[in-house]
Amino acid sequence: MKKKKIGIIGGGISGAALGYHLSLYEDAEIVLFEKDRIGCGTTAKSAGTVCLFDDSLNNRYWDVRLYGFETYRKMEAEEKGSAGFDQTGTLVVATSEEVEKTIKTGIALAKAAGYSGEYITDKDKIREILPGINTDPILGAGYTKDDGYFDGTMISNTFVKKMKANGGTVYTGIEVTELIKEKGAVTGLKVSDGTSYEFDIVVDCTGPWSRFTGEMVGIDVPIWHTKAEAFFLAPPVKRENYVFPVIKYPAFYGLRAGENVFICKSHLSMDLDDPMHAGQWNPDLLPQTGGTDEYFIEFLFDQMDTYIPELADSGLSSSWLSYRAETRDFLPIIGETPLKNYLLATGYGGNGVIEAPAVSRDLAKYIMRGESTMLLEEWAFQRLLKK
Amino acid sequence: MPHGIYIYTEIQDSKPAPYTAELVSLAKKLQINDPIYLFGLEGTDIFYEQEAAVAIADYMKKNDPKIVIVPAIGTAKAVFSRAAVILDIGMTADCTELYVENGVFKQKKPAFGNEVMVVTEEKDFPALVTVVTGRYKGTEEYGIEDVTILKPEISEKSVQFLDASVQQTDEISDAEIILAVGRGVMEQQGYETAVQLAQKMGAAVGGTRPLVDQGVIPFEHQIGQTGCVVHPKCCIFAGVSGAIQHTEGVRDTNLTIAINHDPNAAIFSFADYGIVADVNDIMNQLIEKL
Amino acid sequence: MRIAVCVKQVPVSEQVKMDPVTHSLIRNNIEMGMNAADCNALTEAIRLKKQTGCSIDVFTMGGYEARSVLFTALAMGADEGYLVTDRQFAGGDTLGTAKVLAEALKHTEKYDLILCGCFSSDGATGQVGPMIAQLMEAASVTEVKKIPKVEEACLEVCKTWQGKLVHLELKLPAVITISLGCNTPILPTLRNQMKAKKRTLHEITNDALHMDSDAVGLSGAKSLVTETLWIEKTGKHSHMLTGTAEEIADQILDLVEEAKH
Repeated sequence: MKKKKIGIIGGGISGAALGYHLSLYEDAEIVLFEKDRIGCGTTAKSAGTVCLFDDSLNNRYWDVRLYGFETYRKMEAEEKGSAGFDQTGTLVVATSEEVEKTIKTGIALAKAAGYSGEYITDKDKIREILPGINTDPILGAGYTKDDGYFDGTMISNTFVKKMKANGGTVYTGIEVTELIKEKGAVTGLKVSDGTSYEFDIVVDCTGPWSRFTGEMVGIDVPIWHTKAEAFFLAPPVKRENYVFPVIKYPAFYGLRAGENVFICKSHLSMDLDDPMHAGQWNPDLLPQTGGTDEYFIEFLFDQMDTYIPELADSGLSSSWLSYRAETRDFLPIIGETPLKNYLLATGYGGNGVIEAPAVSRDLAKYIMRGESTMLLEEWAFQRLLKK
Repeated sequence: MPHGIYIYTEIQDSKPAPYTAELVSLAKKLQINDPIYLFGLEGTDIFYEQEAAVAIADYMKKNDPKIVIVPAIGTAKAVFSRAAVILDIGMTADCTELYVENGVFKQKKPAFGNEVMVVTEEKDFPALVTVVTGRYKGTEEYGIEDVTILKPEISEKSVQFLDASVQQTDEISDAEIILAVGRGVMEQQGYETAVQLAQKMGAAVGGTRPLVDQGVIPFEHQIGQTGCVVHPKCCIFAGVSGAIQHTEGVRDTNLTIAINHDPNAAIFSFADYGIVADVNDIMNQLIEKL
Repeated sequence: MRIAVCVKQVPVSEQVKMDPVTHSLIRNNIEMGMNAADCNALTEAIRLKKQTGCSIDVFTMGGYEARSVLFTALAMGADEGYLVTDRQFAGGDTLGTAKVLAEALKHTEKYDLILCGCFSSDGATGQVGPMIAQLMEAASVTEVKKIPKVEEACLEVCKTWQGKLVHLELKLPAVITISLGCNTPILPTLRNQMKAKKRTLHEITNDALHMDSDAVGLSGAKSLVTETLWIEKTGKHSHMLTGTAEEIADQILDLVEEAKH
């Protein structure tokens, strides 16, 4: 049997998920290259929320969200902890009628899929779920107990473990330094230790590094970096038997991190033309901790003071900055590029953990069988080239 | 003319401290043909930092040493910092190597943890240096009669020694065995396994800063420069990369073992023994055997 | 009682680079924060403030960017922040730093108690505290773990030594250095950080202190760094254990047993 050789650049959630899904085809021979450690770059700084009713990914793509959620639930059922699931429940807060409408839609979709969900207007009840909340400026909140957050790093490691068990190869601490072209098509790549590899297909899964990866081969990958600034807060009050839920407000979201609370500004409110929010930077220069902007802390304080005053009185334990790879329409770039045999699975824009399973399932099928799907067509590179 | 290599020691239980022989060895290796003298403070006199500094400065003025070698321990550094001010000389701290190059007395010491080494020289005499001890044992034995004991004048009584009581055990600072957990354990959901293993081994669990930031372990168990300094008999690093901020917090151990899946992890330059393996696998095996 | 705390801004991050020419840290892109032992010192000072109602002034020597640790200090509960800054002060060794801080302290107020962290994470000499004490002709106790008693004119302090807890009585005015990790540092809240940022900091330059440039800063340094050497691989490398997970577990248990004795 002649195998199809696929080289994957990048071992974050994108590369790991794709590697696993490809490894399910016995005629696939996969090699994944990660220059640092699996799931320890952008993926490590993600919140890992795959909320059932949430608008970070348009409800048009509800099936993608549901598929991601269920993939990870099944991962957990197979081996506890392999997806790092913390079932804290989720509270999505309605600050306007428009938001309320979206939440109620989400609840309907979640219930149709067999999960629980209710829209609560009783403010006492909401305060029970989130004791530090200020219920004055809100209309109500959607709540489900079936939800929580996952761990992108754990998931990436699990996908890679399964991929290896299916015969895939992984190299960590190895950087791809050159892409090899012949007669207008990519035929392989070279890595930092000088070794060359031949591939039928190469897929760029490097997220915020995609511009640099694309440059190696003359492809202009149209991603911007938006700043994901996250803060760890130490709440002033410790409550016994209380679980801090995943919380979603239009401008920020939060979840528990051990005894602390992780808060991050949501990415849909980012303006790609605002240099404070977005730009094109170098992810290698990101500091491991800190790097956050003053105005973010001010923004955070304003939001907390308004919505969850108890968190405004929380100690600021630490913070970090990460870059999300964002396209103009906030949807990822998946599949073929103008360069033959060079594919993209990037631009997940902070939704990588949610979107990677469905995308990888479809992209793997496309690579191995040439069959496309509606998702691949909508998220194709083509759409960005037209504009 | 500055002359002589003077070595400071503390007298405890009527004996010069254990590092004395090591410091004398170091001095001899310099192959400067000056005589070597031992001097020091006795018992609780070390706590009278202000008065002891005066006594030391007087002694140095009287004897005009070329080089003064001091162990890099808290009590010694405190009095010599003060003495350096009295004499208006510099002091190089925490040297790991002393040598002579082209007739010049030089020292090597780590800068910013252990990422970088710098070479230093003193502008004046005496060249006052504090040296990290405990790296090798000296050969000779020295007695109290070999040491010139300085007596600080403590008539002013700005500090008064009250008593020394046996310390209440502080869970992690006094633990004999510590299991230090790093990101590598978190990446594989191994924290519960680690806690289980620690219980079976009778070890305290400590961790690196990222784990505290993320609320996984309380601050009291953070080991390293932003947490506590520990000196257990044995420390096992599970999934710890070896960043200096963390390893700085582990000192004077009999045994350090590191387990990490990355063969290039910095921890393997720090620990006595290393294992490249899946941390969870090893931890589970240990749990089974205990 | 008037208390002063000396703090230093240091890199927080685990990744640092040094400039091989100037032998100083390359500070861009590194998160800077208050030296950890200084956080412990300030936390201890704030505890004393709660007990006695004293005031706390915080001093730091550094460039303009060092202001952020003063804001953090104010957010933690200090009363006033002093930035001691002048190009002439830069590049000094520990004695140079101590001279500047001592002068700034004397210039500002007659402090009863001065607290410092026992050492900084980016220098770790532990010298500046006792040197300040000497320059101010005050008594000092270093590596203090606890301050069980505070009175008008004296303190009772504890430090560890040879596995024992030593109690000392210390007459004021005095300088003490606080042991790293001896308490849980106060975390400034978002609210307090916002309030602190609106505060005005005091600036002390050499115009106020009139220090002799030969005594401070780079020109005053008495101990010189002449070379910087990168450690690619230190001489030490762990002795690697091999075998199956089970075999390794056995080896580990044997080693641990041995180490206990």
